[in-house]
Amino acid sequence: METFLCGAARFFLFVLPFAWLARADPPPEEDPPIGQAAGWSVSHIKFDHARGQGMADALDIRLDFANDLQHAADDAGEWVKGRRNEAALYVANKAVTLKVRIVAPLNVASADIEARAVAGGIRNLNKRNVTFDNQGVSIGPGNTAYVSFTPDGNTSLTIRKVVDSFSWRASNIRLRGGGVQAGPFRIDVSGPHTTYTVVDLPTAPWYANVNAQPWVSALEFTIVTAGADGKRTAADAAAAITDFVFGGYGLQYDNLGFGTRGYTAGAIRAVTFDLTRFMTKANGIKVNCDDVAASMHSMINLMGGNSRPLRRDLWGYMNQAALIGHGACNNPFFGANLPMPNPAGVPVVDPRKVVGVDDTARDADADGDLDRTPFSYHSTVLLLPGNAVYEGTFGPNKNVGFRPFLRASIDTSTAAERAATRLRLQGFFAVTLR
Amino acid sequence: MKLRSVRQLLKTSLLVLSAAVLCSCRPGPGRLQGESPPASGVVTEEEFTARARENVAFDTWQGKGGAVLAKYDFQLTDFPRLAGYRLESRDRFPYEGKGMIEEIRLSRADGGALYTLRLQLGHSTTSVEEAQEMLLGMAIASSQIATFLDLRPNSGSSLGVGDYDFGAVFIDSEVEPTYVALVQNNTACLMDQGREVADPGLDLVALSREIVARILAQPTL
Repeated sequence: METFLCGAARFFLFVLPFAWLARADPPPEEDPPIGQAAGWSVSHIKFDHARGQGMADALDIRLDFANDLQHAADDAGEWVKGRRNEAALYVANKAVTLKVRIVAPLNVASADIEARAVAGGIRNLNKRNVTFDNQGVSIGPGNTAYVSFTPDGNTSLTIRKVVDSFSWRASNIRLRGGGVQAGPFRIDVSGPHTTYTVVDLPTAPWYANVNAQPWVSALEFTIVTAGADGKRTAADAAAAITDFVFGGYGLQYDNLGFGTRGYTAGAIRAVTFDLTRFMTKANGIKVNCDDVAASMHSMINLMGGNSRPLRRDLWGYMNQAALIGHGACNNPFFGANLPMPNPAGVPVVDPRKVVGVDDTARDADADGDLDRTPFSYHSTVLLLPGNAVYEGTFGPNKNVGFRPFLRASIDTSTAAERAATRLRLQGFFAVTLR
Repeated sequence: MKLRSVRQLLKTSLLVLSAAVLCSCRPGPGRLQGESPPASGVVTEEEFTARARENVAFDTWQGKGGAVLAKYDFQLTDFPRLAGYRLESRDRFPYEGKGMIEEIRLSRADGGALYTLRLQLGHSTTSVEEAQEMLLGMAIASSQIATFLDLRPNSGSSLGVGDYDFGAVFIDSEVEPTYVALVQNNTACLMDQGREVADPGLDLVALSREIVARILAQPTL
């Protein structure tokens, strides 16, 4: 008996409390247990209902450079049950609304409608009363069928991609013939809805023209592939993007081609950057600093940052640093041939990535090779406010002041090296996407 | 305060001031021009043009004052030596208000190898000079190659294809040009076989000559 009492005491004192603490929370879908109602449908949802760049709803976006989203053409919303399911983009920590068209059974005059996130990834939508016309269609302001719903909190505080569904419920259902059904009843599930969140409104090159409305493809690439997901600030996102472009995407500096552009084209002050092909590496892995700067600038500003690509010319000899795709280097055009005509097939730049720290291009070896090659110019990215440098061609460097960056990056230890840094031109350049 | 203390104070201040001035003026490693980023604005066209012109002795280029010809519309079928190549993409974009650049990407699969060729054709409707400036931007100032153009063993010579041209070998194992840049009349042209592998059956210099012939066959505007 004593043993039994001791065992029971142990069970009540230790096992039960821990079991209670350790129990799994029931998923939102099962709380509270509710019935299923027939004849209901959440037929349309507009995330970007105001259209444009206002932040009280989702932003204007498109699928990719060449293709707009379908809802832009008919204004019927990103979600059309059974026919359409398109993504939405929000700015972080904003109070937003959604517009929803609901179809009820013909005998329903009004009901309180709410939505719960199935997986808890998106906000629940607060309960509101909705009235229905004789056809069972929700009645919104201005004789539209769309009624406004308010999430139970602001948009995500961080850059985020969420895929989640709404479980729609009706309660307090008033019937046309009189009578009320208390509910709640589960009336429909919409989704899965894909929503992206960025820290602020995307800036140039985004929204520069209709093809530069933020692309779903670029949001997916930047947030998921490049790892901006979860970042709270543009600076954090810029750091993640820098690391990705420098070391996470398999790119390699075009040493043999003297840094010829792989994905940018045009002149200097206004380049066209082929982000579409960049996202699939369709032109290969060889890049130069313009490609790196234009890609980082495009992705950082898509996340709501305000970065600018800067070109500095002449740049000069690089202090030894990791060069994108090559590792330690102070001779970025190692192994390259000089422009032709020249002695056929003879590599005329020293093939070693790292050569003497004070070697220069003019120190030709006995075999005619050039010992060390300087950058004629270099393009990097500055993030406002503060003009912090984010450098992905070498380093990488993140959140570094412009002056310390120059001093750490450019070799000025001898007069010959200093001569190669003579400033001829320095300025920002504009990027157009395609 | 005693006169001696005042004199001592002045002497110390002078020493500190002199040291500060000396330090701020000292040239040497680590000091660079333009250590502050520009307040705003983009690189100006004038700065860019002046810089690029100087590097490649632009004023000596042949063909200035030549005829302004109608735009040559590149067709893959015009060139039997490109048999087997297929059109991957064809894009057009403006160039600094001077004209349009058309970028054409071609590829040819041969067994396990995939050969690529990128052509950029820049056309000015107004002058040869503008097309030559387009070549500066397309092929010279947008890569680091300008730094090394003056290091050619036969500086001033060319492949003998266009009004101004140069070639380069961008692939380790090749000895023939895998990259050609040229300007002929009011059309600039850049051809690039990438960095991985070059088509052993494609003579880029011969293709350049054929393209130049097509350009020259266009009527004068």
